[in-house]
Order: sequence, then structure tokens, then C-alpha cells
Amino acid sequence: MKRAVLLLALLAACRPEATRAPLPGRVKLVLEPAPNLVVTHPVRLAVVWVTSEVSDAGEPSTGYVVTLDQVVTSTTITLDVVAPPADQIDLLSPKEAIGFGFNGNFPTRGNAYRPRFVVYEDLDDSGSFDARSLEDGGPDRVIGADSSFNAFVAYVFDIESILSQMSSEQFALYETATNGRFTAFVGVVGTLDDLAIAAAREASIVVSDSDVPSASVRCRHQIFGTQASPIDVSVTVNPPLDPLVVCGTTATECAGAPLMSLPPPVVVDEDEEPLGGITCRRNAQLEMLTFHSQRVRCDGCGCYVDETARAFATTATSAPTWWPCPDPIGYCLEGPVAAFTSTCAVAR
Amino acid sequence: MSLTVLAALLVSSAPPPIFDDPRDPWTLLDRRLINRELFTQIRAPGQHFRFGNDLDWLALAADASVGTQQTGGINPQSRYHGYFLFDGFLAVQPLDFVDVNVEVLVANPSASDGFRLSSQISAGVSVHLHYDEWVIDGVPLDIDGIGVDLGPVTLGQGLLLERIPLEGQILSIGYDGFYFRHLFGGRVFWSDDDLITFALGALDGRLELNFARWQFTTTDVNPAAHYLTASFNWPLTEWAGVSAEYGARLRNSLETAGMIRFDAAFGDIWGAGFHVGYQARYYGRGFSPRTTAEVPTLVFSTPERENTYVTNSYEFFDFGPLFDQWAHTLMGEVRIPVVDYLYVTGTTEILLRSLDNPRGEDRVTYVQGHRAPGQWVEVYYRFGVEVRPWPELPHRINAFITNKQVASDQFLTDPVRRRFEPGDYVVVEAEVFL
Repeated sequence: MKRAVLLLALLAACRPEATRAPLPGRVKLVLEPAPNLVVTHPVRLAVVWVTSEVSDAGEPSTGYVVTLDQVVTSTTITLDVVAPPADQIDLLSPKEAIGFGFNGNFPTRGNAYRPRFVVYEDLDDSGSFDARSLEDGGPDRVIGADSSFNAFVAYVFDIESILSQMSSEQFALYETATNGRFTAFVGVVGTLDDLAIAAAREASIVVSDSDVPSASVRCRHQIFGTQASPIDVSVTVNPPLDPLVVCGTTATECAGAPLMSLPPPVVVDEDEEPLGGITCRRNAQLEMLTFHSQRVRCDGCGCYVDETARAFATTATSAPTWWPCPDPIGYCLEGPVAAFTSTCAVAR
Repeated sequence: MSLTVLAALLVSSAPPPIFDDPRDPWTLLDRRLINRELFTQIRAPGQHFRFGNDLDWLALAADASVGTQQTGGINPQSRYHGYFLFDGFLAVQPLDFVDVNVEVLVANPSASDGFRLSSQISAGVSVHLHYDEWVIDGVPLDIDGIGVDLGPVTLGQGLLLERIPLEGQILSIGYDGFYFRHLFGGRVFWSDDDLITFALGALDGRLELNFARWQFTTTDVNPAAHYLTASFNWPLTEWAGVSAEYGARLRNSLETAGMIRFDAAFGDIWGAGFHVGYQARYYGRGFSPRTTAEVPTLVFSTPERENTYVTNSYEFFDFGPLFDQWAHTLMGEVRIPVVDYLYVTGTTEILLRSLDNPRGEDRVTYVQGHRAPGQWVEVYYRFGVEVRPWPELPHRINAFITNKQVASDQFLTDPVRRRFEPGDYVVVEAEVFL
């Protein structure tokens, strides 16, 4: 019996678990729909890999490989992500340096690529993402993508080679970055110049009608931005104030209208996002209620902030019933603009 | 000479003459002096050359060596590539039941750096109290206490700890072959760990039951690991023996480990000495006390480590939190006289390691360049000659090739993760034993 046990032990040692290829990466996404977003077709999620190739004539071209495409049924999504075919791997762009280590000390280094998680409205009901929608003229509407500025998962090239260089401490970090799975998809954070391995975590994707997600994917993270100027200011002046006196020369639109006849203003239009919130300003002659808002608009790989301000001016004695000033705090907390208000202030 | 396997056989077949002797009783690898009971050690047969062995109240001894190492540029040299070592021992016996032992190691591992940069002195004191004046039914009660230098420590048959130098204390009370023994050791495999054990032994240690608490001070996750192990060692013949140990880590899920070992040693076959051994070890995932984020390290890296086997519990603790591990080792040593001043020597260790994922888990990593889960063979060797200019004395010149050289950082007290440096080396060294 003892001999049998020993023999079994010897045999067991000769049968280690068969080695395997890396597993798909497991990624958790949380979608954050903007409240003003309206969709009329199915919303889907595609994992998109951007490639770059130079033709024999020296012409660069951008391509897209979609490895997963599924309908969105929940705001919390867990995906098993696989890499593109081997012949596409070398074309992925941009490849980013990734370090494996702690506290800025990365004894093991490699290259990685961040796959893109694209949320789109399937306008043509085709059931698949048409990557031309990232450029002009595609049939689908891109309404979200993972952030270029908040890296969370990356595909590591030649993970076997990287693993063979790792110390056990680095492997412990790799374990947290993959939730204990043998996979080339690891949790990352962005550093000043490149990526660093980090514990796996979920990512948030803002879903809205914005140009930025498309530009972020199309431009391979290389989008840049600036502040558009001047600010577009429109002013509505309540009689008996004189619009010409109130608006001065800075307003791009200025009109007189009885505020009592207007519905309470909403803080943003559909396409706008709140910027500076709402302010009330007052002097001896008038009170002014101002709504600040912005919209990011992309042109190519440059994205610009269009700012607008809508102002309403009245005397204190002729203010409409919905007028929040000079007590804007209550208006902000309870009124129809509350959900969009980031600041409420009164300048006296 | 303490190197003879005959003495080892005597040790293996009789109660050890040195209290809690941690040295391997079977191997032909050098059995050097330890910092304990120096009077007993250097007055033993074969130690007549020790210049301090005939003093009444003082014992003195020293092992000194110089050596150089070449690689031919195939691989980097190890830290001890041009070294000088002086390992001095001193003991006094102020009372009949007390001896105070001091070991001073002077080491310069690198002639390239020069002794002005690299030389280090390490000293340890071991006070040993042994009291056996109380007699019950004609059998003395043996009371021993040792601290603070414990020298190399082996627990049981080496499942948890095998020949790892520690400081701490050992307290023991024994009666007629039975004993109860407590050990406290600090800085074992981590900078913040302590090892506390309580052992019950019978038949002069042939059977032993051990409870161990491995505790840590700088972790929130796992402040301590507790173990229960049972071991035995048993002579099969006067030249062969078997030993084994089985242990479990005590927590909600029971992780186990076990080892079995067979040894055969022939001390004198036409003047030649042989030892062959086999070990099988199994360490279940999670048996090791900490996670992979807390890497075990060793300090006090001296060439004495080359007198231990690569097969050691330490090697199973690094990736132990991840894999089930098997190992089968064949080890052999030989020392054959060619003429009365020239010996051919050889040692080898062939290690088959196997790492496997526990059921339901799926991970891949690399352990010293080998893909795990997987199985591979490691072969360690040392072959050469030993020249004794004075055949009646142990002083010698060794020239050998080996791939087993101690790994050390700049200072021998720097923590290192690997016990041995990878690579092939040609070594020439001269040793004197005083």
C-alpha cells in the first residue's frame, strides 16, 4: 500500500497541468448616460483596435479591427476581450511603453496597446459597428468611448516574455492587475510618459452626444484642445429696463421681453453641458441671472470648447415669480436647474 | 577530521553528541564547526589538529580560506570571486554547566573591491546552559538553554526549516530520550518575521511532533501562520536510513506538505567515501506562510551555504502561495583517494521540480526562467580534486568546477532572494583548519 502511494506521488509529479495560451481579458465597464441623451436605435458596445499602416507609396492609413460587438442591456457590463488576429497585432497603434514595478521603479518593461471600448447607436440596425462612423459619413452614431486620459486596461505584447522576466513581487502585482488570470490584458494607470501596471478596476464611460469619443479613437488618443473665444453671450432684458443700456457692447444677442411671459429657463440645451453654473448679480439698478454653459466641438483631432452665457436682467420690483435672485441658493437646490448647477453665488 | 562520513554515521546511529545538532548527518558536504559546545567539538576524535583543544578553560579553533573563481566570461562571476574567510571560534566554561561560545567571521568576498571596501566582521555569542545534576530513578533530567546565536537551525527533518542560521533561544528539558523543546528565532525568511516552535520528541529525536507559529509584524493580511508537523528519522541499517515529515498549516482550509528522504552512506570503501540520497517533497499551495507580494529573502550569505543542498524548504516558499509543488531529488557525493595526498571529489544534485495549478485556478508564471505550471530538471554539480600537502592534516587545496556558488549582494548581510548564483565556475581555494 505504501509503495502504491509513493508510486502515485511520483506519477503525479510527472503530470503537471498542461500549459495554455493566455486567456481573454476580463473587463468591467460602467456606462454613465448623460441625462439629455436621446437615442432611438439600439445602443451597442464594440471593442475596437486601431491599426496604422503605410502603403508602398508611403501613404499612411488608419484601419479598425472590431473583436467584440454586443448590444448594451445594462449600464454595468463585463466583457471577455480577445486580441485581434496575429497578422493585425503588429499594426496596432499607438503602442505604448508599460512598466511593471512599484513606486516608479520598473525593472521589467514592455509594450502595450489600449483597446478602445466604443458605445454607439446602431442607426442602420445592422447589428455591427461600422468603423467608418469614427470618420465622417459612417452609418452609426458614436456616443461614448473609454477615456484617452484615464487608462485602465491594456493589452501587453508578448506577455510570456514579460512574465519570464518578472520577480515574484512583480508577479503578485500582475495577479492583482489580472484578477489572478493568465492573460495579456492587465490593469494599468497612465504615468507621465507611458503606462504602469496597476490593480484591475472598472472604467466609466460617459455616454453623451459629444464629438470627443470619436476623435479620441480616430486620432489614437492624440486629441488636443483649446478654449474657443469669444464667449457667445445672449441677454434678455425685462421692461422697463432698456436693452441698449443693459447689454452694452459685449453681448452677441440682446433683446427686450417681459420675463413674466417666459417659462422658467432650463439651464442647458440638449447639446450643451454646464460650465460655470448659474450666477445672480445685482446692483442698485438691476438684477441679472446668468446661465453659463459649454459644448466641446471637435474638428479633426482638435477639440474646442464653445462657451455660451444666457443672461436675464430685470429690476427687483418687476422680477417674474420664478426669479431666483437674490436668493439663488434655494433656487439652485430646489428649482428646475438644480441638477445641473455646480455653483450658486450672489454677487452683491 | 570532521569531514569524514564515518563520523556522520556515528551521528546518525547514536544520540548526537552536540545538543540539537543541526548538521546533516548523512552528507559528505563539509560539516564545519558550529557556534555551540566548542569544547566538545574540538576534543572529538579526528580534531587533534585544533590548536586550542588542549587548554583547560579555553577552546580555540579557526577555519581560514582564500579562493578565486573564474568563469571564462561565459557568465558573470559570483560575489565570492576572490575571497578571504577567517572563521574563528572561542569558548570558555566559567561554570561546569555553562559554556560561552563566540564565533567571529572575517570575510572579504571580493578581491576586486579590496578588503578596504569589502571586508566585514560578523560576530555572534552563544551561551549554552546544560544542567543534568537532577536525577530521577537513576536517569538525569537534561535541561538546556541556548541563546542568542543558534547557528544553523533545522526543524524536524527540514520540511519548514533546514540549516538556516538564526538568532534567538532554545529551551529544552529532556528525560530518558523524551524531550520538550521550545525555540524562538528572529529574522528567518523575512525582515519582520519570528518563528516560535514547541516540540515533543521521543527516542532521542527519532520521533518529533512540532507546533510552529510563524509570525509577522508588518502585515495586515496575515499576521501569523501556524503549523503542526510530525517527523521521524530511522536507521534501516548501519549505513542507511529513512526520514520523513508531514505537516499542515492550520487555518480554515488545511494546506499540507510532506517530505521523505532516503540516505545511504559508505564511509570507507578502500578509503573512499560515498553518499547517495533521495528526497521527495510536496508543498501544497498556500502552505508557505505569506503571499507572493512578500518575497522571502536570506541574509548572511557565505560559502558555507554551498554545504547545504539546493533542495530546501526556502525554495518552495517564494511561489508557494500560487502552486502545488513537487520535487524529487537525487543527491550524491563521492570522495576517492588517488594517492595519499590527492583525492578526487564530486557532488551532484539532480532536482526534478513540478509546479501545478490547483484545480479551478489558471495562472502562468516563470520560476527562475522555467514556465509554471510545468516540470523541469535542475542539475547541480561540483567536480574536482583535493590536494592535502600534509596527509595527516586536513589543510587542503581544492580545485573544482561547479555551478553552485552562493549568491550574495555586496555585503553578506544584505538580503538576497536566490540562494545560489546561476552559472558555471572554476574555483581554486586553499583552506587551513586551526
